[in-house]
Amino acid sequence: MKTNLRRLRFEQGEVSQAQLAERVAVTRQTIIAIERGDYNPSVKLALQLARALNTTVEQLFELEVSDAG
Amino acid sequence: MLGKRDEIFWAASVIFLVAVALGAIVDNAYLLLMVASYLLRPTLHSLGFLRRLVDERQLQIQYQASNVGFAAMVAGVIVVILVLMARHDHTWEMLVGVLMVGLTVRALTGLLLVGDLLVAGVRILVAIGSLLALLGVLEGGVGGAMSHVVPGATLVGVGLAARRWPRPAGVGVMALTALGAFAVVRAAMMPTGSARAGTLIALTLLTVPAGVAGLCLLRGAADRDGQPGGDA
Repeated sequence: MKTNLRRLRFEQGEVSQAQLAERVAVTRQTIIAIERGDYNPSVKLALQLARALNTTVEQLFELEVSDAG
Repeated sequence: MLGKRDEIFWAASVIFLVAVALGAIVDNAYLLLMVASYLLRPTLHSLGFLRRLVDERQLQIQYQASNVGFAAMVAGVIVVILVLMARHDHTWEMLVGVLMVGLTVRALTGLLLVGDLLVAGVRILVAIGSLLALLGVLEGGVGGAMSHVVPGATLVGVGLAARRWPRPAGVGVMALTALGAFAVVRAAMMPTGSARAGTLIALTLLTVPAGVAGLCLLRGAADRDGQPGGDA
């Protein structure tokens, strides 16, 4: 799964990882892991992240060819 | 943002400091408290307490780490049991009991987390009955097999009947659980020794899951009756 979290974070006023983590009530390490692609968030967290960055889940995360079922 | 210095951090710190103070006064017991302080956060997470302090990624990491840790602990206990058996030291029987407690709690928790209480109750009863019969055959010879196979098969039968009649089965199982609890109390009053410990653990391992199964059946039946279209 491809993530655009880092790009969208900067596009939304250069929100820091710590600020975003505080908005969605997770640790900064979780934001780092999501941006690296090391962790796939739950649907709930994905929706919270999208709301915190004024975007949609589809813009935040994209399926890659290798993810096709 | 979830911080590391939250309420759980401070609670664990207090437990750790108490352990250190105890270590200066008492011998060895402090180690157990240190373990408690270390396991406080993952245990609270797993039991569903203080959810607002839970980070979903941390929870997943702790879940995976706990599975590996549990497997390592089981392997370690098995090695110690084999060493004790080679030395003809019968305290290995108590370690088998501890091993069974861990595996039973793991299996029960897994069944309960599935969320279907009626299915959980049936499966617990069938598992207890099958294990009772199997252990009787393996350990008791012909006489022991008969004395274990009959109650084991009865439990399996009650479990299967509970699929159709959960409430009567639940009441029956709770009555059996009360008898089991009485037997546990009697065993606790036996003279001390590994035989008493073994009996206590065996009875507890039968009684507690049976009680859980009985409660699952009664609660599951009540929930089903309360649903629209249920057998009211």
